Amino acid sequence: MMRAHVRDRLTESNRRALGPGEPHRNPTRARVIVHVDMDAFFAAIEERDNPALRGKPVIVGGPKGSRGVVTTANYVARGYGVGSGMSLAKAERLCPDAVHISTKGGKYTWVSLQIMEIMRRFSPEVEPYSVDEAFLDGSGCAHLFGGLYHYGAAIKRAILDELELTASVGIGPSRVVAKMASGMNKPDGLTVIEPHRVAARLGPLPVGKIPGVGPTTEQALKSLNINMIRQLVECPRDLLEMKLGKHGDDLANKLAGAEGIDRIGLEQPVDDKSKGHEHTFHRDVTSRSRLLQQLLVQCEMVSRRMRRDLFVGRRVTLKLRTHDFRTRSHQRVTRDWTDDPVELFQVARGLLDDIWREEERIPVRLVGVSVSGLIRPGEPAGVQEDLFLARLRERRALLFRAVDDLRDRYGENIVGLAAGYGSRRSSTPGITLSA
Amino acid sequence: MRFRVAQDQFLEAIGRVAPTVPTKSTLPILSNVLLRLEEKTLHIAATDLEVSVVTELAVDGERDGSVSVPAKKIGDIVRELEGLVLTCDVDENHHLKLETEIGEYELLGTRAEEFPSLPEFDGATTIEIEAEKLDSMIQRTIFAVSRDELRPALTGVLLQLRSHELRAIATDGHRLVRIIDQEFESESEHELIVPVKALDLVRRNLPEEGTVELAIGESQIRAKLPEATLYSRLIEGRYPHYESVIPSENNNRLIVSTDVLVRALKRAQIFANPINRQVVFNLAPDSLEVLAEDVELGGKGHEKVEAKYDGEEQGIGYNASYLLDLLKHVVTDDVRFDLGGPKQAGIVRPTVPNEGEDFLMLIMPVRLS
Repeated sequence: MMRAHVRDRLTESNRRALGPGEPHRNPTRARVIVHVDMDAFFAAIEERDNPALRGKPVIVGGPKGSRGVVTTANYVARGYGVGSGMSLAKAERLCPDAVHISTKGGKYTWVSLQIMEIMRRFSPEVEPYSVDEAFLDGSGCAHLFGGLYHYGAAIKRAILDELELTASVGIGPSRVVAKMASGMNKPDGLTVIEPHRVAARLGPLPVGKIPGVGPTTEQALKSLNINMIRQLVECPRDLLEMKLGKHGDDLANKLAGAEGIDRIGLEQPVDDKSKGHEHTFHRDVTSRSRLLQQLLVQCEMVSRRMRRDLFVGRRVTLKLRTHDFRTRSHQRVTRDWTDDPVELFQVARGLLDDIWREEERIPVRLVGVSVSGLIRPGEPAGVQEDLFLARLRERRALLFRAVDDLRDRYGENIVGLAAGYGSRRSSTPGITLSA
Repeated sequence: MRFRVAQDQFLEAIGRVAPTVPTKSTLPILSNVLLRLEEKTLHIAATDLEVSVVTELAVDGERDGSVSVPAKKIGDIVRELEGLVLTCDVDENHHLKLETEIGEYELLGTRAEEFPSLPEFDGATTIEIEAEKLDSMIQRTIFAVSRDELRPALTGVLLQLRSHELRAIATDGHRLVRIIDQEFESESEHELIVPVKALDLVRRNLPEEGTVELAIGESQIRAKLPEATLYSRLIEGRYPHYESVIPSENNNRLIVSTDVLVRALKRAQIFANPINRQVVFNLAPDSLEVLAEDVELGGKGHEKVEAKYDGEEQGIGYNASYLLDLLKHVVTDDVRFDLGGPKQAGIVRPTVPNEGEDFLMLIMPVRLS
C-alpha cells in the first residue's frame, strides 16, 4: 500500500514540477501480477512422500467410508469425475479403487510456508491467498529474468526443484487476470496474459468465470444482456453502476487490466482516512448468525490492515446491500480509539441490529465494514480511560500481533477468531482462537 | 368488574406502578396496567418483563373481575378528575367505563389473560434492611451504573451479602463506587446484580423509616415495600473483578473543600469541550489549579483553588461532570483524593467516613496529549 501511495504522490509532484502542459514522463506501466496455484496440493504432497501412490487415484479427505467431503483429489482421481467438495461416499462410488488419505493440516501448512519462502526470493511483495495459492507483484523484477515467461518459469522451476511439486502459474496486469490465467492450463501450466492481450484472451469467456462474480451478479449482468467478458468490458460504466451499484464499477476496474490501466495491484492505494472490507455472498443471506459470522471475519480483516499500517480509529460504518440492490449504511463511534477486531465487531453488530431485522427476512447480498477517522496510535488525547479495558486490550494487542505474524507467513486463513470459522475462504482447518 | 374509589387514592396507586411501564416496547400489552378486583381489594400491576410492581388498594367493590387497560390513558384521565368519586365498570367487551358526577369516560381494555402473568417467585432467603440505609446506598450507586448494553453485568448494581458486611458496587468503567456496610449481618452469603430500574423503583416506594424485606432467589429479587411489592429479574453474567482495579498505592493526596471545588468545576466546565468535558487538575505541593480549554471551539478558563496537596507535581485530566457526580455524594466539608498518575484511577472519598461504613469512589482520568 505504502509503495503505491508513494508512487502516486511522486507522479503527482512530478506533474506539478513539470507544470501544466508538460508531457508525462513517467507513464504508469502495467503491473506484473503473478498467481501461483499449486496443483492438487494435498494429494501432490502425499504422492511425493509416498512414491507407491504415483499413478494411482488419490483422494485426500477423510478415511475411506467416513462421512465428509473430498478436500483434494489428484489428477488421476479427477479423471474418474472426483472433485473437491464432493461427498466421500460419492467419490467412492465414482472411483472405488482410490487410495483415501486423511488430511494432515500441519504438514501441508509447513510445505505452504516453504513455497512462500521460495516466492519471496522472486519478489518482496508476496501475498498468501490460501494455503495453496499466492499472488506476488513482479512489476519491478520480471525484466531481470528476461521477461514474463522466463520469470514465471523460474518460479515454477524453483518450486519443482526444491519441493518436487508442480504449480500452475498465471501472469497478468491485475490479480483477477492473473488468477484467471493460472486456471487456463492446469496442471503444471504457465499462462501469460499481457495487458494488450487481455480483451482477446478473456473476452470470449462467460462473465461467471471472473473470480468474485457469483450467480446473482451473473444474473444481474444477464439482465443487461452481458454474457461474455468482452461485453462487460465494453459496457458503459454508468450503466453498470446503475444496475449493480459500486460492485459494477469495481468489476470493471478489476478488468481494467484489459485496457492496460491497472487499478488494482497487490497493495491497493487506499485512502488513509478509512479502512474497509466488503463481502458479497455467493447466495443471499437471511440468517443473522451467518451475517454476524461474516461481519466478524471482516472486522478481523479491517483490524489487521489497521494494525499493519499503524492506525487506530473510532467511527465504524456498516454497509448492507439487500437482494434488491438497495444499500444502506450506518455509523457509530467506538468507546475509544481502537484497532481491536472484537471491539469493532461489537459496534458492527449493534449497527446490524439497527438496520436489519432477522424476522423481516430481507435477503442480504453484501455486507461491508469500514473504520474511518483514522489516526496514529498514541496520538489520541481527550479520551476517557477505562478501568477494565486497559489490561484486556494490552493482552489482546499481544495476541493479535502474534496472529498477524502467523498470517504474514502462512496466509490469511491459518488462524482466526473461532466464531468466524466457516466464513473464511479456505476450507482448510487452521487454528481458531477464542479471544 | 365494578368498584367505587376516591380519585386521589386511585391516582396514587396507579402512580406507584406506572414507572414500570416501558416507554417503548415490542409487546404492546406491556403499555397496559392490570386491574384485578377481589372483594374489597383492587390489585394493580405493571411489568416490563424484567421488573414487575404490584400494589393493592382498598376499594368499595361490587363485582369481582379483571381487565388490562392502557396505563397512560387511565393515569391521565384519573389525574384530571380531581376530587371526584369514580365508579369503574368493566363490561364483557373489556371496556372500562369511569362514571363520575360530571361525565362518563370509556377506555378500551384487553382481556386480563393477555397480560403477562407475574413471576413465580423462587426465593428462599430474606433479609431485613433499614429503609434509610437502603435509600442512601441506592442513591450513591445508581448514578455510576453503565448504560452500555455491551457490558450487561455493569448495567446493574452488584450486591454482595456476606456474614458481616453488605457491599454495593456500581461502575461504568469510567468511575466506580464501592460501599461496604460493616454493620450488616447475614446468615447466608449471596452475590447478585440488580437492574438499575428495579433499584430506582424500590427507592421511589421506600418508607421514610422502618425496615423493608428483601427476598433473594436464584434469578430474582423481591422487595416488600409498604404499599407495593416489586419483583425483578437479576442480571446474569459475571461482574468484573472490581477489587483488582482499586489502586493500593496512590500516594499523592489532595484535600480540598468540597463546596469550593464544586463551584470551581462548575465554572470550568463551561469552557470544557462539550463532548469529553475535560478539565485539568494541575497539581503542585499545596496548590491546585483547575483549568479548562476547548481547543476546537475556543475559549478557556483557569483558577487557583485553595488545597492541601502532598505528592508529585503533575497534571491530570478529568471529565468534569463525572467529578461533579461523585462530589454530590461527598457530604463532608472536605473531600479527599488519593491520586496515582495521569493515566491511573484516582480514589475520591469523604474525609470522615460514616460510622460503620467504608465508602470510596474511583474516577478514571481523561487522556492528556
